[in-house]
Amino acid sequence: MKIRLFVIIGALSLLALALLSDLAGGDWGRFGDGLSDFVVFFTESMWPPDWSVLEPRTYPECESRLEFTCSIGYIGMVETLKIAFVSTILGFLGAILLSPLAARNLQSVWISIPVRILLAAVRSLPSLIWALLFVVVIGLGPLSGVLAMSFYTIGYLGKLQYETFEGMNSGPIEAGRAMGLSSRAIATNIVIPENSNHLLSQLIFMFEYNVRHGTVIGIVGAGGIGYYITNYLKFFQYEKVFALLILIFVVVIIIDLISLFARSFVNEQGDVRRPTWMNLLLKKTEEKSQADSLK
Amino acid sequence: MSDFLAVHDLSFSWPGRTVLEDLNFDVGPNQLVSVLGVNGAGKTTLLKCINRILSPSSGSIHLLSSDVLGMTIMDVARQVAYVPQSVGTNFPMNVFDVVLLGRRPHLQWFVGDGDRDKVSECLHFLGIHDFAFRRYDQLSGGERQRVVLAKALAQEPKLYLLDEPTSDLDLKHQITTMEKIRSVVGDRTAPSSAIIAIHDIDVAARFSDKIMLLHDGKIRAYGPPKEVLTVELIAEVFGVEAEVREDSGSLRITIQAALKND
Repeated sequence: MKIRLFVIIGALSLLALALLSDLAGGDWGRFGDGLSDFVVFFTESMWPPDWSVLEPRTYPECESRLEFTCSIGYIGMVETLKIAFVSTILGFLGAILLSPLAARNLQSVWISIPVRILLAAVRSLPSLIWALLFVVVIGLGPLSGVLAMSFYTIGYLGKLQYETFEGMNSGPIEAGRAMGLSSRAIATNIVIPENSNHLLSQLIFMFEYNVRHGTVIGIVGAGGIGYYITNYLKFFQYEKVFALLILIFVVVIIIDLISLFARSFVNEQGDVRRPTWMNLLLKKTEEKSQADSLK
Repeated sequence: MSDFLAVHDLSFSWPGRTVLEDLNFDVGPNQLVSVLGVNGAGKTTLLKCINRILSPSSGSIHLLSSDVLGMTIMDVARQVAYVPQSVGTNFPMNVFDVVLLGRRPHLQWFVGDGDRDKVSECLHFLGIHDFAFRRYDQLSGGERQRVVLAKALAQEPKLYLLDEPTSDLDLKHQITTMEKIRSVVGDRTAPSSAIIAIHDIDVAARFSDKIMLLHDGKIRAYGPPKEVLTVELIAEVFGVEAEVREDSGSLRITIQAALKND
């Protein structure tokens, strides 16, 4: 078994190497040259990072007491975070409406297949292409970024959600049908609450993903820190680009840590005490009346 | 044929595989019918077809002269309660709320005192009122099984479809639970019947009015336990050697050994 695995991995590696050679046109020397060029580029053009991107802009004049908040780095990063947050929420709302319609265990094929095709169509365009389209339609700025990433989030999150729904145990769904619940009631009262841990985990993951991608869509003018990176690239100010890249890296790491903490609340393995839905949603009077009826 | 539950020519197939083939049987009021058969014989599928969870390929099902296949899902839920083999959930509901779900087909806008009283009555009846406010997802398998049975009782149906309702219960609760199901079905003031898919032949023989032996998706025998649970039929359907005897009026079956394959 192990030998077969090694043979398969070896064969795939050889195939990848052959394809790489084909793509490089057989000129392997380009890799060696590229590496030395990168070292020169990094040491002479990018290093050291220019941290003036964290200093306040000269125009417009900074009116805040915290001068840091008037810097390009802060403004761009906050705009990226705003775009990511809004588009994640909008995308989640769109996805949660469509995904129960796409799940085969909840709907007939006449409904699920067209909705799946719709989600696949939305997902097939990367958020960068969506951003290009929206920049053309509604102009430069963060609104294009929000719409672009919302559309992509609907497609991406929608697929994750309907696959989660399809993977759930059929018992609760059958119990719901035996109670006379409609497909809509089964989705809203059983399937979504039953999978709430997964949905929340996917939502947090999507936010992280959108923060990372929010830096890219700025390149086509859809707002965020990517917009400033593109401008610095155009004027060969690589030290500033490098400083912004470090800033993005730090923010992504911080978000990763926060999401790790947030996910521990919805993780089965987490030892954090979780509030029950009953405590959150039901009034105490309901439990009291239940207790009274038992006496 | 009885006008309580009448099943005609019921068939069900998955793509490429026939599970049930031309089943014809009837169940009278206040009757407890046990469906016996080996794994994959079609016991659960039969229950799911009667309850419309699965759509039969052909045939008809009439409950109290009404066509079940033509009813709305809500009408079916008012008349038929289904208890699956096991229901797990990640949703932290308490036991009272799970049983209250059984009132869903009868609710108008809000949960009333009558609904809560009915839930309380069912919890007391099955002796599970002590953990009414414990979380359902933290109960043992056997406790969950009794909770789901209480939910079915709260539904006040005409027909109970119980899929291995005692499989996770300890010996004492197997007997007491079957006695309680028997007493609910035997209540002449509110006629109801139960069809139970079960593996324990001895329990089935002891509590059932009729036994249905399912074999390869067909009814091999259907009738009172004494007529159906013979040594020959048990050997043919289950491939085991059994001893069948009568003990103070009820049938007792002891499995001796598995028969060797030819």
